[in-house]
Amino acid sequence: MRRRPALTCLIVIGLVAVWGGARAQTRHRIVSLNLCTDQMLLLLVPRQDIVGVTSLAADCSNAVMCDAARGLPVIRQTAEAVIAARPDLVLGGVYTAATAILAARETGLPVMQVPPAERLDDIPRQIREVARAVGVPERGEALAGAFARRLDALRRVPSVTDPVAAIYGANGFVTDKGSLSDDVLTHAGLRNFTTVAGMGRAHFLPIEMLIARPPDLLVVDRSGVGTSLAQSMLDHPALRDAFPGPHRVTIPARLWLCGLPQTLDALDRLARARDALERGNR
Amino acid sequence: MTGLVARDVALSLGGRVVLHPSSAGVAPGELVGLIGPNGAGKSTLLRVMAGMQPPDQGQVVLEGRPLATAGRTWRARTLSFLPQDEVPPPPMHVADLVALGRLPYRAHPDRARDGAAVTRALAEADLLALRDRPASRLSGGERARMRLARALAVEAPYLLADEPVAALDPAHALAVMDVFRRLAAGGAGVVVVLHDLMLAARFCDRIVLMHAGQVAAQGRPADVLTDAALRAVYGVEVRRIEDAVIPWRLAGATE
Amino acid sequence: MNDRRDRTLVAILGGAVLALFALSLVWGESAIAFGPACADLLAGRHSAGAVILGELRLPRAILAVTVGGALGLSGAALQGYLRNPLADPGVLGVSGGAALGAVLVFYTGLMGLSVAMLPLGGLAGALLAVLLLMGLVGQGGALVLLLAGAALSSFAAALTALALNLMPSPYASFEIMHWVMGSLTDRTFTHVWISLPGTLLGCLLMLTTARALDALALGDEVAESLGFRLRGPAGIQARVVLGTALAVGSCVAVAGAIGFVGLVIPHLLRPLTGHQPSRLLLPSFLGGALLLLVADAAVRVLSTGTEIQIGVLTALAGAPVFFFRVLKMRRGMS
Repeated sequence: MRRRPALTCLIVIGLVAVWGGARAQTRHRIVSLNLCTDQMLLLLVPRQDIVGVTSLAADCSNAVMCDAARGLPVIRQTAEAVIAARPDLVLGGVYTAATAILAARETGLPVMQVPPAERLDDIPRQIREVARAVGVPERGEALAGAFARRLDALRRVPSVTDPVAAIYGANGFVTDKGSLSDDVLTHAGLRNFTTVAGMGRAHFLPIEMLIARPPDLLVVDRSGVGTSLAQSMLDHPALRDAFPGPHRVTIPARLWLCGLPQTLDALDRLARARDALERGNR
Repeated sequence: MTGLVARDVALSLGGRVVLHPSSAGVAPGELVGLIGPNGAGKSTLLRVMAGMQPPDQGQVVLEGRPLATAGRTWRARTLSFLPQDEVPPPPMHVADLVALGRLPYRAHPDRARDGAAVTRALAEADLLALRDRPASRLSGGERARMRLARALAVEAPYLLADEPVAALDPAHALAVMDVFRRLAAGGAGVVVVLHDLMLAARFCDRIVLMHAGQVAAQGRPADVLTDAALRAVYGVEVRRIEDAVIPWRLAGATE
Repeated sequence: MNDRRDRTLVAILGGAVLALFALSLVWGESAIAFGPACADLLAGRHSAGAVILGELRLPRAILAVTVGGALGLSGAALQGYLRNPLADPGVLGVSGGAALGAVLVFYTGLMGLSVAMLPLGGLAGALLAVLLLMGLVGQGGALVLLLAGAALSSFAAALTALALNLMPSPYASFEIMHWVMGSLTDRTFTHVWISLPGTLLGCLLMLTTARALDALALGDEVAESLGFRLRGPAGIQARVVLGTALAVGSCVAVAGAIGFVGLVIPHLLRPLTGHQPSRLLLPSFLGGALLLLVADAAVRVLSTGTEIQIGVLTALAGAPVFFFRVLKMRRGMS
């Protein structure tokens, strides 16, 4: 569901130009079919202009803006529900709700598909583009500018001597290159375990392998609500004992599940964790 | 007080009376035949006497002790019960199945004594040659003898057997009745459910005739097996004839 | 003579269990220096080797022994009690019931009250399944038993899947495999401690029925006449039912419903022990432990990308036995 391997899709945004996103026509009945566009909308437009978001938007384990999303109408991701909502703009992801998006396009509704952010630099660009599509380019410009400034303040210069960090998630999933969280890692002055260890294409790493060749920092990527075996493995006492104190940091998945201004909070945490490591080594 | 006595035992199952108040018993050294038509309550009375089925009223007394309160192990050692064939035997060896009869002594196993008892029981049932055969491969008659040998291996002073000769050929039926006779002669009390009136008349010291859930008559075979009683209970006319072919005794055996 | 043969068999199986237990500590997904790791573990140092040895491999190996043993023994006890060589906690739906109980506790947050709720959930599910099974089957024969078991296990699996689908965790619905196939990966000592009491008690309870199971070979009434109590709180039935439910419930709660161990182990051992149920019990415990140790080692060898569930391997070993049994049954019928 998250962090699918990338399509190269700078272009997708271009789709929206057809419907005059560039002319900054203000939209008042916007439907969003993707968690990331849900949150982007909440950043940019007044609540009353949103006629539907996903049910995930109000789920605090997945969405940083869950509080703001509470009370917004939830729309089912079916063609019927989308058309019946009579939107003047449909926002969606590249992978989700494919049928609904196809149907919306066939009935002539303006559709904008936003691909998942794969680098921190994608985020301000996406903010600007969505802002233009919904008709608030100035607001987008302001947010994007603020993002770029904060990023510059937080970023570290990468070096080959940077400490090694592994992003370890539910089910022993190790985050690879080419993902947003990997880019955050690099900007925090950390090297991704997968590139250093030469894991190849394996995305799954047993706890034992991780402990046998431990990274300097274990980044526990915790997401989802409720209990599950997948997540209880992150609480395994072996991990606790093998990565004590500064060697372990938890990043809530909602911070970097979508590319948002709040993603910089994850960068901030990682940079601090790195500093703590360096202090510990000294 | 010796003997096994059921006094005024009665039983209903599922709201149906299967046994009206009845009394019956067996003394040491006595072979008692329990006869009657199908559904007369023979098996029920035998199971009540064996302590397998507590009666609704009345009581069963074994050697002076009420069965309802007697210890299970003591009862198992004192009274051996051979029920009707319930389940096909597992592929265990015949000797191992017969050795189950020694389980009442499991608290203090005596290997030599148990082994001797098993061998004696196998010999009595004419199974010595089959002792290492898987029981699942026995014929019907062999299986019946294996189950009898299991009951004999207990070497209890009382033996209650439900239709032990029903599946046997004439020679083995006679042989088994001989075994019961010998047990009685050795001081045991034996109760046997039988369908063969001839065997009952010929081997038993005493007959208990059951009819419609109660004891219709009991006493010496000649007194019980009267023409009138048999007509009333079985609904058949009997004729005593001289030229019928009747398996009488094993070849070479003496009275 | 039998006694000596049985003792030899138990000694060989026990030795093999010990050897494989040691092997599964020494050898795993990563290469660690065993000696130093042991020293670190005993000294209480959290070195990588010590953590891997003490907190990953040790609980996993202990669970392989207790879970495998309990499943093997349950199979042998159920087969003796039901006089049916196809009886097995998995086939009869007892494991499925246990998995359902454990799933309901694990995902609904009941476990937040106490970790002990997990095996209790498994026990409740297993007990319910056995009682339902006994009630359904009554005096029915082998066919009725298997039909009831098949119905019960698919029903339990369906309810487990439904429960997992309804849970809020996005991962829950993907974890059906763990619960219906079973797995020993990433178990902790907490899992060992919560499952051990029920497993041991259940196994002891089943072992006390050894002679009674022998007596049952010729039917209930023969057993009763030999001085065994069938019904009632201390009867054979209660001990087998409770023993199986305790052992299977506790094991499934921490390892999922690993199938076919109870079917395949008694089947493989019978040629060595004979068909007497009492002589099969202890060897079945050891054999089950051995099977799971081997299967768990195989899981570690075969799992490269994603993990192979241990239950997949036991099912691969067990299904042919089942086929063979069914063929034999058909021949017996015609």
